[in-house]
Amino acid sequence: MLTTKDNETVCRVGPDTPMGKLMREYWVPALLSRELPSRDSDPVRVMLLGEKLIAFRDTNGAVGLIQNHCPHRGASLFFGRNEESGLRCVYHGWKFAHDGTCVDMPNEPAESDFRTKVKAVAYPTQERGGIVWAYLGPRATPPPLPDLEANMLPEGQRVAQAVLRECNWLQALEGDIDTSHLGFLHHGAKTDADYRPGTFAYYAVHDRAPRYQVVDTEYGAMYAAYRPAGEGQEYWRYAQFLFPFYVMIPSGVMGLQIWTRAWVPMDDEHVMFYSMHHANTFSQRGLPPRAVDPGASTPTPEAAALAIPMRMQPNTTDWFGRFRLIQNASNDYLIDRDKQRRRLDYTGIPGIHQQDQAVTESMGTIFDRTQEHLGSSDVMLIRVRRRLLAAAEALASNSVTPPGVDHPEAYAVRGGGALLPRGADWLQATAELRKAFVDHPELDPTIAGG
Amino acid sequence: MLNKQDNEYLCRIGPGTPMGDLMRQYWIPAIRSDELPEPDCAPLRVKLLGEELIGFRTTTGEIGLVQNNCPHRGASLFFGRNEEAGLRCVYHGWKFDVAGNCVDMPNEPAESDFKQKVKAVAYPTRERNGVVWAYMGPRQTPPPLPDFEANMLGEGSYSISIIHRPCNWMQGWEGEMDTAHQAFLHSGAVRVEQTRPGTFEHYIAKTPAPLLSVVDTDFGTSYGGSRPAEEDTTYWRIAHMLFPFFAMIPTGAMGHEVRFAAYVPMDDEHTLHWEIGAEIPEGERPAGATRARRGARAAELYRPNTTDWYGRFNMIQDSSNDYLIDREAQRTWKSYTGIDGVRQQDMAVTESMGPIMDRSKEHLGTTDALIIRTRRKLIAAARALRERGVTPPGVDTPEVYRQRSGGVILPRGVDWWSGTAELRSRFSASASREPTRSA
Repeated sequence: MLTTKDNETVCRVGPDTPMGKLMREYWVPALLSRELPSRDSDPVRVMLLGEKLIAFRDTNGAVGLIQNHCPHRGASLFFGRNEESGLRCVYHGWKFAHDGTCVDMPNEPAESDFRTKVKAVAYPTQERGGIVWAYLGPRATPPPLPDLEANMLPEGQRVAQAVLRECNWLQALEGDIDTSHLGFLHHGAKTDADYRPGTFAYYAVHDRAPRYQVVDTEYGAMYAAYRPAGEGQEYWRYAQFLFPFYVMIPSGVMGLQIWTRAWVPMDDEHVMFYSMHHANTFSQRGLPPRAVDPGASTPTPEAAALAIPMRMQPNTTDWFGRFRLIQNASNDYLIDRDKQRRRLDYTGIPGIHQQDQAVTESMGTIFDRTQEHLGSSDVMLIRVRRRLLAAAEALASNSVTPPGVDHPEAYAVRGGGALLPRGADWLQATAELRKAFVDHPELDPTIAGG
Repeated sequence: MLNKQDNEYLCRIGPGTPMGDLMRQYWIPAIRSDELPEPDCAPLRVKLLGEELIGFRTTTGEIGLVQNNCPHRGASLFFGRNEEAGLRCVYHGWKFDVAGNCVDMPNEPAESDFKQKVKAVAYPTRERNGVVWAYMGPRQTPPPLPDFEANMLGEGSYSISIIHRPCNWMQGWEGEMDTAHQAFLHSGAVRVEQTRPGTFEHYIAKTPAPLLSVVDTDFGTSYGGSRPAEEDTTYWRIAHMLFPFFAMIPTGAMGHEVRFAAYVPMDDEHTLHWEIGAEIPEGERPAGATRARRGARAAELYRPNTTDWYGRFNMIQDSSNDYLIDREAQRTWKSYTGIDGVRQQDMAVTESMGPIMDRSKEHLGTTDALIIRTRRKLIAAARALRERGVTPPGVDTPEVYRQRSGGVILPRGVDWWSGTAELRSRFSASASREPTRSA
């Protein structure tokens, strides 16, 4: 439960809000590189942290991210001519470089120096791993990018995908750290007989009410859910929350799974989900890719057989026209009541991501958390909210730089599952396995089950 | 730049707002006559100055403009029966004439005099050459209609086109005050070598940035944008902003055609942009030049009108389809914007500012001088009306609207304002002040 005031504080991310300021301390994913496919390609409307921005790739390949409204009289730079290393407003020909400098003002007399006095808001960008990163913060020299392994893989191994969700960012993120819904929302119609004994999937379905450990970390917080496994063993699922909006979820085999999920607020009521993962992360486990969109790679045949791909609508140029699912609130996510009734499926909604989408969007765009009733399985999300609120407060009141901003190396971690001897120290036992950038050829991917 | 408070003061026009009060001093174009094509035709939803009204043409051809919600229990009179010289609410049969009088109340006992105590809000109308004007102001006897020549030349000579612009009226109007965008938004892809020497187009292409001169006038403001023409001449583009939301644009050659535009607020975030043009009778035009009048906008550019409050005069190119921008045409310089149509280009940029632009964020340059001047004048007039009861410019002086706009070539050094006085104030002998109908 949160008070109305805390709920507002933790959810709202516009300029000048406490959480908005917190997020602006970090680099944030702004769009996919392939949304700006070539030099001088079409500008793209990007809603980010409540700001309307226009992204464009200039003649030299640099990515600009500048204010929507031309500083002159406010016409949208979306209609701009992207040419000769800058975006030119079609209204009066003012032209801006990717850093916001006004480089041409052809409607003013040649002798005027007004041009040097005008600047467009433009945010620094960097491209890495298929993502265009933006820094919307106050520093003249931005901090380094976080060492997120999934975003640093070589071309060909890395996948970056995006899916729009129409609710507040935290609501969506909380779904990722609420592990106990797995046995219901996603696997509620499964039984022990559906999985091979000895696998993670088998244990997870066999015992749907695990116990939890939570710890604060340098970069955020981590939890593990544990339940009995084979003789003398326990199955532990570790997940990471990393400031300000990243999650590494606990499915898969820790040490093999390379997967970062980002819940990037577009505004208070829309969030862009980015999945950054190793190309083998799902196919190894025979699982369907979580996100399949028109530009994504084809899953392996095994995965395809199981896959209920996320069918996407064609992108439009609207502020919220990017990466929309065909299954959405307007069609009740294509729920099949008959399947639900006959337990062919627990929800009747096809697709894991779509099931999550349905429940989190159905809470309303910004859920009123004065109305909730949290149980023991919600311990991680209580912790994460507290961490977020405390960090925002520390920044606002004492200018304390929030976790991880100046420690890119802190992000070099992994999440996933492991079988541990009963009674093992959950932190020590997996210290090595949780490190990113380490190969583990000794691990057997089939233990996950799937 | 305007602070937020002045921006609100300038933009909002609902009942009781300062700018709304100012506009209610004037006659306002409300309906195009052909929207009410015949006696007892279907009523029309009309959003005007933030008010929801129902327009109807009675059995005798008069135009009524009454409140949307029936005074009885608020049902919309849009569903009303337009019959026997009045509009009858279908809920309980109450019937209203064009003056808003309740002329029948059949659900009350015959001996009741309740009917005499009920009145619907109804605004006086005048119909002149295809335009239904409405007076929504406080006077018992409205002022005269403004002397717009293009609305006073008779049947067959005029054309009227209307576009719905989903943004604040001032944003649309400011586009008319901003002559500098012509060389970019509309003709940025025109290169000097593609133009014929000696033409206005040629002078614009040669000098994209005009020098601007601005004057205050008794009807509002005017500007002259100047560019070198030939060695000893200057090309002046002269335009007028006439209170409270009219414009005469500087294209074409002055004296060959007359026209004016009106940016009529439907409410704070929707505007009907009228363009009314008429031919000056042959023999009254300056010799030697051909006329450049554009016809009414092609019907195929519009969506069919619907009966919605905002269902009138919507173009197919709109924000939902990015005005059908063709990025390839933009990239290859076939067009500066990639958007077809001058007005559609204007729509794209002004609507993209947002429904009410936040003018605390703008950066105005020298070419925005007229915008600055006109805003100041409007705000000052609204304040003078509110605080001291001063009647705003033009209300009681219909003749000040006798102006012509357009391009002229003047010898270098000649004052553009006095040098065009005679040309600007010519007025056709056939122009008639008489309304075709009034109610």
